[in-house]
This record gives sequence, C-alpha cells and structure tokens, in this order.
Amino acid sequence: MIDFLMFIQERLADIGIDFRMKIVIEYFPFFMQGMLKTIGMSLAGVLIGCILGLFIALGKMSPLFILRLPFVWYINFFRGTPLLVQLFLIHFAVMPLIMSPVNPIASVIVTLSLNSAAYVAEIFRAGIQSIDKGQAEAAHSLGMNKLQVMWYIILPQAFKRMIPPLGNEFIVLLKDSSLGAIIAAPELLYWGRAATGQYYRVWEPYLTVALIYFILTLSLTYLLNYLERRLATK
Amino acid sequence: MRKLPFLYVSLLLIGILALAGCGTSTDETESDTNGSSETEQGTDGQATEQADEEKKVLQVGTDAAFAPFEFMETGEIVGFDVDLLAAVMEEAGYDYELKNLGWDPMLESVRSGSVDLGISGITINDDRKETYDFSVPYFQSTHMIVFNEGVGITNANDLEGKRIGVQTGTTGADAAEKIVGQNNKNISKYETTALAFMALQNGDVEAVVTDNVVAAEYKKNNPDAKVETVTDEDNFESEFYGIMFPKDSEIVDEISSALATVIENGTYTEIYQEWFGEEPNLDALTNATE
Amino acid sequence: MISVKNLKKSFGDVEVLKDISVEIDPKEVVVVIGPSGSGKSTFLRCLNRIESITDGHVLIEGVDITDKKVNINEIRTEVGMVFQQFNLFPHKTVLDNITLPMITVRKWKKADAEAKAHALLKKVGLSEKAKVYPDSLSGGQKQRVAIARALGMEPKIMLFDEPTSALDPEMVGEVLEVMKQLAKEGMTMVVVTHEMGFAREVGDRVVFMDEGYIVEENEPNQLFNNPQNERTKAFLSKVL
Repeated sequence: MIDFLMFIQERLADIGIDFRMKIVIEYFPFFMQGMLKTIGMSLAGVLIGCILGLFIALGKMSPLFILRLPFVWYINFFRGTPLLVQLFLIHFAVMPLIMSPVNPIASVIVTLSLNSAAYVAEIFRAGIQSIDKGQAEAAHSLGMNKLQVMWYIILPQAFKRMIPPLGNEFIVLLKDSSLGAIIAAPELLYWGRAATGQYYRVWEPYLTVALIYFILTLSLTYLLNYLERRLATK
Repeated sequence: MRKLPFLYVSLLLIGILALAGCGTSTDETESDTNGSSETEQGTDGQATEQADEEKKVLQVGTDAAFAPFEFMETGEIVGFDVDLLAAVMEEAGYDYELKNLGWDPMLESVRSGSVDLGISGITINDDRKETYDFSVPYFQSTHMIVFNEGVGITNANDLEGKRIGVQTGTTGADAAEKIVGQNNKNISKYETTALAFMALQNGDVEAVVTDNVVAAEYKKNNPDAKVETVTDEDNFESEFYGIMFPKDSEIVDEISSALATVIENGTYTEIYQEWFGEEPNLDALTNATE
Repeated sequence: MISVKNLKKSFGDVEVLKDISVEIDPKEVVVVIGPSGSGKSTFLRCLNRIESITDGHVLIEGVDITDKKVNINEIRTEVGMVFQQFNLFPHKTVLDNITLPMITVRKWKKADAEAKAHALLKKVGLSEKAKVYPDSLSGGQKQRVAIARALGMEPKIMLFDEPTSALDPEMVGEVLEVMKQLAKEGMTMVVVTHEMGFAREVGDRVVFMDEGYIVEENEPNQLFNNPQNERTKAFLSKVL
C-alpha cells in the first residue's frame, strides 16, 4: 500500500505536482477513526431523526390547528436556519443543561437528529399523503382503528416511496456531519484540519478527506439503489 | 478480484489529483476573486522612488482574523504584522499588495506561488519547512495556559491528563502537543480560539493553551470569566513567527535581511511597543535566528 | 336492521343529502339507483360513517352510529363494504389482504384466519390466487377478493358502492354472480349500481335517488314497469 502511494507520488512529481503521501500515510489511522465517527454520527442522526420525524409528520397532519402549530414551527425553524447555527446553539446553550463536560460528538448527533427530523417529517408527510385515500377507507371499513390503518396499511406503502428521499437525507447528513470539526468533534474533516494545521498544506489532507467522503456517499448510493430494486420487486 | 476496489480508488485519486493540477494553473484568477476584501497598501512616495523599476509588485497573503497581529478594522487590514510588513517592504524597496485570503487559501496560495509571501502570525516548524521557506523569526510567541479557577495548574506539565482546548494549526496547539503528545485524544482542536474559550467556559475542556497576547485579550474582554492564567517558559518550547515564502523563492534572502535590519535599527521595537505596550525580547529572536 | 332518519350531509356549502329516511330489513337486498351526483354513493358511505354525518341519525341494529360514544370500529366489523376501485392492499398477498383484518381487528389466530380465508377464496372461485399480489389480478378477480375480504369479518350487512363500474364489460358477470350467491344466502345488502338487470333480478326493493332526495322506492317490477314520478320516468327512459 505504502509502496503504491509512494509510486503515485513519484509519478505526480514527474508531471510537476507536489503531493506528499507522507501526510496521508501519517494521518491515515486518524482518518479511519474519524470516518467511523462520521458514519456513526450520521447513522444515529438519521435513525433518531426518522423516529422523531414520524411523530412530527403525524403531528403536522393533525386536523386540529392548535395541535399542528408547534410541529409546523419546529419544521420552519430547523429548515429555516443554518445547520451550523443550530450546532452552535445546541452545543453551547442546550447540551450544557444535560451534560458536563459536553461531548461534541453528542452535540453533533443531537443537532443532526433534530435537523433531519424536520426534513424527514416532510418526507414522511409527503409519503403518507401520496397513498390513495381509498386504502385508508377500505381499512377503516374493515373495522381497523387509526393506529392500525397507519401501521399496517399506510406506512408500509409510504415507506417504499420514502426510501429515495430518505437515502438522500442520509447522504446530506453524512456530509453535513463535517461541521462537527468546528466544535472539535473528532470526525473525518477534523483530522483533515489537524493535518493541515501541522503541515500547513491543504491538498493532501482535504483531497484524502474528500475521497473518503466520496467513497462513503457512493457506496451509500449503490446500497440505496439496490434496496430500492429489492423492494420494487416485492 | 481483491485488488479491484483498490485499483478503482487509486484511479479516482489520480483523477482528482489531475484536477488539482489544473487548479494550480488557474490560481492567479482564484486569488483575484478571493481578494474581494483586498486592501491595497502601497508604500509611500519615498519608497516608490527608491524602488528599482525592475522590481515587481509583491503579492502578500494574510488571514485577517488574528488580533492583534492582523484583523479587519472598518474594512482595512490592520495589526502588528501589517505595520511590520510595511517597514520591511520599505527597507527592501518593494511595492506590495496585501490581500486578505483566509487561512487555508493563504497557505495554498503561498505554496503554489500565486502570492509571493504570507504574513499571518505563522509559526515556523520543521514539518512546514519541508514545504515552505521562512524568514528569520520576527516574534517570540509565549504560551499561556488559561484555566478555570480551582483547576490548579501551576506549570505546563500539569496539562498531562487534562482536557485541553486549542485552535487548530496554531503555536498553542504545537506547544500543547509537545507536552502531551501529538494528536493526543485529550486535545480538542477548535476552529477558532473563541470557540476554544467557549468550551472552557462550558467546562468541556479544562484548559486552553494559546499565545499570551491572545489570552490577555480574552481576559480583558471577559473580566467576569473566572479564569486563571499561567505561563511556563521552562517547559513550553519557544515558538517563533516568521514570514512564509514558497519553497526556493528568490526573494527570501532579500526580505529576510530587510527584516533583520528593521529589527536591528529600532523600527521593530517601535512597532512592537505600539501594539503590545512593552519592550520586545530581541535576544530571543537573535538566538533563534542562530 | 338499518334505520336512516332525516339524514343530511353537506360538503362545505353544498348539501348532497337533503333529507333521507329509509328502513332496511334483515335479509333484504336494496338497490340504489339514480343519476350521477344524486348522492347515492354518499348515502351508502354514511351507513358505516366512512363519510361523516352532518345531521340526522343512522341506526345499525338499533345502535345510533351518529352517537360520538359509539365505537364505530366495532360497528364497521358488522358492516362490510366493497368499493368501486377495489382498494385491495397492494403490499399484501391476496391471502394476507383477507387475513389482516381478521388478525388485527378480530384477534383471530393466524391459522384460523387462513383457514377461513381459503374457504372464502374458494367461494369466490380464486383458490389458486392466494399467494399472489393484487397487481397480477384482473379487475374482476380483484373485486372478488375484495368481497371475500369484507366477508372475512362475518358482517351482517354488506354495502356495495358501484362494484362493477370500474370493470371491463366481460368481467362484470363474475362479480354479479358472487353477489347473487350472497343474496341467495340471505345477506342483508345495500347496492349502489348502474346494473339494472341485477336490480331487477336480485333486488327486493329499488330506491331511486335524485338531487339528494329519495324520489321513489318500490319493488323492482313496479318501479321499472310503472314508475310514478316524472324524474324516475325520465331517468329510466335513458338507462333502460
């Protein structure tokens, strides 16, 4: 592996590009640790976001205006303010109420969860509302209550339609988790910044980091395509 | 089969690098667009007369977000580095343009040579010397440990085992890492020193290591913060700021000796006193040069 | 069995049902006919409160379903419904379509539910389709599964909302055949349909609706051969 990287470095030097594989090699273990944290944080974010998002979606579809209101504004807030600002607010204002010292990774997970919940809620709502009204009517006419109709009839059908947008949300989250670097959550970009700080060189760390993000999102894209095809045949 | 993904990755890497290679050739235009907040600071008339006609206008990059060394004041870049730069350029007889590029773009612009030099409280170290050339040191950075009252830190060695906050890529980060080890998991590298101080306030970290001037600025602006400070010149290794050039730049010696002259002839001391209100330790600089 | 008293239904400002009162006896087959927009489908959908009721009362076996305290889900298990668009659950196999409500609502054991479902599929002539998904069925087959699904709850009343309107002509017969069989077995049925042949042959009573009112009701022979109201005559002259 190292030989191969040095080989690439020499070939690049031949065409006049100065690229220090040494930095990549030295920071490779850190990039791997950071990558695991990046995956973990985004996965936790999207899972918690899905659970929260479902409740928010149901709340937003309530026929009662007054019940709908807080959910509508939750979505407005989290979609209408920058994620970075949310991260700062949560890390410096909200999390200190819950834990001390604040673990920046926890802050990132909470922020990603709350933020993605707003987007996921809209995905859920669109998915649920895209199901033909006749489905709910038929289920109700058989004596099912609202919960049973939602759980057995609407959600399974809606979920299939929600997989592509949910997958998109996951990819967005994976990339957005890089904001954690700013509050020193030791994820992937954090180690890229650390390497830049040590060597004062930007290409080696950032290209490597970009490549790892790219491999992650690309794998995810293919995984989702596969999942979609599997479900489509069912 | 097992080699296939690896080959794939390598090809991708090469592809991206090729793009990067193209990037360097267009750096000229990039730095122009980056320089939206650029401030032209031509030298005064006297200097222009002295300037050799063949000498080109030097492009200087900085990241004006590090008070009091360089920061924006009503749209202009000001600070200790800015005044020192003016004096050095006058001494060397160059016209120059100072551009606020931001930190990472400034690094890359100097590396690729799309600017001729960078001045931005840049710390000289061996890892960086592989990529850049540096002038003689012009500032000795003393580190200060800032910690919440009652944590009980008396010297740098007490940092061992404590959660430490630093700004990524600063002398404070270097100094702290020399005590507890590089990329130790107790070190959190924040994007800015302000964020590190905020983490200190919230108790996320127990101590912040930073330049003493920056720490003093923080204490001055936050008199209510219940923090103590300690300096430790014995255990912290000295860190020095230098002007940074592309590797093998032809103007290094010229600018460096102009800088040395400015330090020797008293101009440096004047500027230093103006910004820091005290006498510089010229011996330390001289020793570091040797 | 079903007692409708002064039923009114509005959608916003539009009053669709204006004042409907009708009594339906056990084992009776009532066919509701009328021009489109007459409110006949809405009337049917009010009988199990799939459509909310604006005013008036609907009693199913003496229980007033307009009463908020009534557990409507319990009532609905007694009142089966078949829709124009079938409304089978596309993510469930034919068998699961039928067993799902038995298991979730009736709380039957899975094995019991499946035995019952197989019997029902046999009854509607689709035994071999138990394991397929609704997508692969023809319209007529879908509607027969829908009938089997409704029957799975062992309802005392069956409501049919234009069950053959969405079918290709050659498939209408197979669905009507199943409905005729049900009528013969003594099921109480309310059928909204355009199939006048079915109304004449199977109906005990035909109700003609227009503009939100019941205009005329009578035995099929009387109503078809000797309509009293001008509007009934006008409608019948167009469809017969």
